[in-house]
Amino acid sequence: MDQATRFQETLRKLAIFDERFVEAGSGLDLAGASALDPKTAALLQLGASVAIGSSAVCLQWAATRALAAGATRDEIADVLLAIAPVAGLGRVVSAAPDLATALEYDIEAALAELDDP
Amino acid sequence: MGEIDGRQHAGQAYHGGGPAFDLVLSKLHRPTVRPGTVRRSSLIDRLARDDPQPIVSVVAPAGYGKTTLLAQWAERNEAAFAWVSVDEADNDPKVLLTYVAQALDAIEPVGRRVFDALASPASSVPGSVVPRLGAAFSAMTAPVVLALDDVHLLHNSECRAALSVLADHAQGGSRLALAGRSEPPVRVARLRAEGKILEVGPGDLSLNRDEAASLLRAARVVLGADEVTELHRRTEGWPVGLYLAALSLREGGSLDSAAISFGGDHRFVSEYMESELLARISPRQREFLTQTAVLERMSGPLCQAVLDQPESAATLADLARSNLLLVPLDRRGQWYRYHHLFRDMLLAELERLEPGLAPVLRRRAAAWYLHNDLPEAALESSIAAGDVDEAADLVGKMWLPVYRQGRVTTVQRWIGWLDDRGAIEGHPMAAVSAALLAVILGRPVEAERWGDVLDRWQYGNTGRPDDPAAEAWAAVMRALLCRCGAEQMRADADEAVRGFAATGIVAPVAQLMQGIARILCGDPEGGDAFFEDVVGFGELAAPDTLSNALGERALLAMAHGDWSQAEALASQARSVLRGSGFERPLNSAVQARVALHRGDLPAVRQELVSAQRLRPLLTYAQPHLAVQIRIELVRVHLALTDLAGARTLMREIDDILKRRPALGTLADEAEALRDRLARERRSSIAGSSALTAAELRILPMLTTHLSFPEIGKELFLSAHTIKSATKSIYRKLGATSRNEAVTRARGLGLLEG
Repeated sequence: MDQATRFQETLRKLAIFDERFVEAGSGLDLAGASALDPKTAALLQLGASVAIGSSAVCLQWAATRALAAGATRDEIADVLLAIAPVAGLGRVVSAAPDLATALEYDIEAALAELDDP
Repeated sequence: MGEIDGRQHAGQAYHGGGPAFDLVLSKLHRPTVRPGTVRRSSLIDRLARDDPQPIVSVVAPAGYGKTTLLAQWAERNEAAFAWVSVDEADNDPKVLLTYVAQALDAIEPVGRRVFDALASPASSVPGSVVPRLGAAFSAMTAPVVLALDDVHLLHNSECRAALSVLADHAQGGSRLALAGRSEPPVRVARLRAEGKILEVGPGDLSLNRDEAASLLRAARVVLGADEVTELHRRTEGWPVGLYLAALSLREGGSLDSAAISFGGDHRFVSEYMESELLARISPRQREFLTQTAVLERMSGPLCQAVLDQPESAATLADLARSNLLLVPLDRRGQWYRYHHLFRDMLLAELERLEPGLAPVLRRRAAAWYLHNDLPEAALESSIAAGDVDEAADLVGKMWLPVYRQGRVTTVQRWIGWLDDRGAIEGHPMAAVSAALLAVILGRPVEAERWGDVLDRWQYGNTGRPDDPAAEAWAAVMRALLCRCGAEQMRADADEAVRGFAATGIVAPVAQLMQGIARILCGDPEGGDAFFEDVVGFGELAAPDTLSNALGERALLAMAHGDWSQAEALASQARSVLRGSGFERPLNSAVQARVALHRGDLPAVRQELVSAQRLRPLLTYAQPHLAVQIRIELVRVHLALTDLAGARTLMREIDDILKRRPALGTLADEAEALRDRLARERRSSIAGSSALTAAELRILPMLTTHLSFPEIGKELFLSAHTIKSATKSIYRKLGATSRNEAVTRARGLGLLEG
């Protein structure tokens, strides 16, 4: 791949949070051996993402990992409540719609609709 | 009466290898160029030159000779010409593409798989039909021109998106030619930039003075050179304008009349029609022209019936000889249509002269069609006449065969028309068809709405007339929707079977429901007996019903550990489906389990992928199958230690059970699996098997040229949701662009092509 398109490829991979690319670039092993079980690790990643105000795609990535590791959607939503006292309500509130979208719950439509779908 | 217009009685089952429904063959006939027609030599030279652009777009208002140009090109062209005259009824992608497939097939066989995908009600147009047809088009061994006339009539977005993708398949000297009044549904700006489109517009199509003179000569109008020049100036070379003026002059009109002044402007033409042309012909002729204009296609007997005058057939024959605005549709001189512009003007004139007569005439046409065993044409006439009751009755009779031919959008259009007139409430068979269609298309909200309509009809309306067939179908629908749990489903299915028996209707789907209800109620032996009944119907049962019964029997055999029996039943189910060209998700799940038992992992993966393709259609509108199939799939994913895939399916099961908790033994099985998954501490990468039903529904749309907001509009989702889901799809497929995602999905078998 030539230089002209490499930067585009890099940015595209980052924009969708391509896991393998991020691991290779950062030297991190995101799914590797850990004393934490995968679900706990994924929920922690999610909580930290919310706390530092990560973008929607990071939340989606973290939520997908958590679901793949066996977290329920209730557990994922409760991460927001759990971190609210330390992360601040503002962060949590602003993350809610993006997390909803990541869980395939169209919160905008739900708020606009007369009947809850 | 199968000979009439090449359209036979609708309703035969699909047997494979050809169109699933009877085509109007005249739509595939390239119009013959009449002797004396002005030759557009320089334009045709442009079209036929070497190194041609793959896309040809002819865009001009009515009456510029678009059709004539294509027809003259076809006459001269050495390459084979596949022709389709588009009409309003082609706003069903399966219908339009069946005509396209048939037109290409006449030149070189496109293969059975193309027609299989077209005939299947549940097949995805962008996911299956278009890739197969596009591949066949690109694979033509010699260059073909695929010409579609009147494409401006296509407003269905799936049809338009399909043509845009087909355009990419015009390769190796083959070309796609689109003629219409407005810009064609291809990416014109992009094709223009790439130099891949040849555009012909009104400026190119206007006749020059000499061509105008030869048109007038051919119309047997003798004018001096100055007069020709004057007429050419006033009409700005608009061919149909010149011709109308010629007609008027032939009938004794004068060139001095100020009315002959129009350059493609319809408003002036209708004024002119009124004051000049129609005023000069006999009242009888005028009556014939304006009244037959209600017909899209006409034959002598049909005109006779509509006008209620025995001499109409002779009038049509006379007119066919003398009037160029009557277009012959077959080579035997039986069927004709008016030139579109001429027909529009005649209809306006009819409305002015005799307001309210058009519906009466259309009603007569409907009666004639019915009498001649052409129920679908009758239905369209009833719709045009606004006859709600007649239309509802015909929809009740027609929807099942038409649906079985894959023409789902057509049935939806009928239902939508009835719905707009509030006519479904009073017509239970229309409600049954609407509900069943919604179930099969995976639209649970609609299915529930029609289910409510049926309940109101049955329980809220004490004065309703006796209609045992509708009662039985309503019971089938209640069983299918299963809104009140397993016990009620069993009662509904039993009632349906009694009802059908009393009316003598063969509907094995009711026995299938009986069997499934027995399983939910914890009586597998009882269930198996009903599945055997369904199998006993043999060919009388629809292939999907039959294969589902065989699949259920195979699952029961597996539960007993009788794998040889299970394999035998599964392969029987497979051959039933293979014969029909359909795919069913239950079959994929059953085949996956059988293959897993054999240890044939490639086959397991292949079946899992086909189950994924079909899964978006399995919603809580048919909760039993939707949950049962997913349970079987979870088992397979667990065996492959694909936990992300298993958990994705489990979430979907939970969502369905939340709405339909009383699914008896299925709910118990789901709970056991849920516990097992909850105990599982491991994780697996969320790859393609973790695509959700919502993502799988979006995936085929990525093969089109539709933007995210346009995809959202198609699927009733916000552009934001589509954008987010697409990123998730890319990630799960390991892709970073739309193209790459489509390529990956094709490699996996999630998409065809």
